[in-house]
Amino acid sequence: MSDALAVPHGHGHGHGHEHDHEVGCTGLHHRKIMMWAFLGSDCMFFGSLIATYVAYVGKSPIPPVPYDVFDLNVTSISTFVLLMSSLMMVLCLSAIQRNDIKWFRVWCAMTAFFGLIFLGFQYYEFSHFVSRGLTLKSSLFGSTFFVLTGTHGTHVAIGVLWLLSMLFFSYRTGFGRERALDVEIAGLYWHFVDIVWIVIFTVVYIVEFVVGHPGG
Amino acid sequence: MANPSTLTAEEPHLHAAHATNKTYVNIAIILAVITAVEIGAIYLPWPDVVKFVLLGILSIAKFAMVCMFFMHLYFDSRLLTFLFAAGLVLGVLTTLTLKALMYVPSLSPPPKPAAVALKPPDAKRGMVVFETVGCTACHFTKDVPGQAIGPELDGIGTRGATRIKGMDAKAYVEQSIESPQAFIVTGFEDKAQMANLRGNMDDQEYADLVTYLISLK
Repeated sequence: MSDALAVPHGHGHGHGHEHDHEVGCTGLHHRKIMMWAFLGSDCMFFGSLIATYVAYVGKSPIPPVPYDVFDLNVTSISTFVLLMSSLMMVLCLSAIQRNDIKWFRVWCAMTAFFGLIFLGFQYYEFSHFVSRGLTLKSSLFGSTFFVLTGTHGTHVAIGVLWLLSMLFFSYRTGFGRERALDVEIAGLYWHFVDIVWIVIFTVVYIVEFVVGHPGG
Repeated sequence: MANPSTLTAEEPHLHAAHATNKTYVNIAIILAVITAVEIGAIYLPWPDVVKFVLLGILSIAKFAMVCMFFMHLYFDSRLLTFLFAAGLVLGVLTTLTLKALMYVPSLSPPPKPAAVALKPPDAKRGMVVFETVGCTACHFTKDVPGQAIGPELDGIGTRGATRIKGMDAKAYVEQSIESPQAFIVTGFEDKAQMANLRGNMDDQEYADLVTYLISLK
């Protein structure tokens, strides 16, 4: 039997009875299970938004249509930025697991910074679309596109705030290896935001350019 | 060695034994390369359906790699994979079902029946058509507010007769609705191109709309 199996209720970890209630019979931390359950439910949430976009794309007669306003260069760069932020997030977790606070802070700050860059690209894209007459109320395409990508952008913004608050508390309180679970849970959320964008980038943007004509 | 599926959250450093920083960097490089291939696939001289299949496979590969390695599902308990997969499968099925519903002809709304005998066209009814059929997404008149993406239409009943030599206002308005790109008003070349809305109205509505527009002197 492994050491891990021998301590299913947290004994021997130096955290006392507090942790007795945080690890159940699965041997998994309740908060981690909760986070995965939340991410599963968020899949359904984004699934419905993507479904709505996909169902209506090309059915709106009111211009502009996706092909007229999408800028593949801008979206490709912002996609790359978000992918790299995922790498930084996992390096951030790796650092805290090694109890390397300095590099934890570096990677945490870089992840949040890349998240802000992504949000900057999204602000630029939205502004450009509005200047071309595409708004939340202007057409089916506008409604479904802004609700989908806006919801994703909101998730990114929440993730950035989460990372910055972690960074802030790493200076104020004793922050070390024992907080690795907190970082891991924040990381799960951040990576989820990344995988949702992987789907949006393909389904919303790339497919539109493959079809290659207005209306998709 | 501990079974990865039984590791508690208090031993995340044990998970790390399965993936080093070098592994993470390699995964990130592969993700970037796949993204570049996806963008390049747009320009391949292949049928769209082949490109869609390729894009689907690449996208799923990226999704799976992030889940397995960055989110550690590959090393973690299968329970966590199940929790996530349950929501993911439902989300995917929702997308596929809604898309399929929109394509089943028997479940789609029936096409508008063509008017058998047209009533004399009426400008007032035409104004309602102008408001409801989508014109106001780009145009406006003194009676009906709308966006200013396209030209203002007050006076089109007079101006329309001067646009194209040998074409009166009615013929010009009809052409503008049926073939929006046939004539672009100077100053609007760079704006979003007008959509063809003729399919959104029946013959009676079309006649009423044309009558309304040419009444705007």
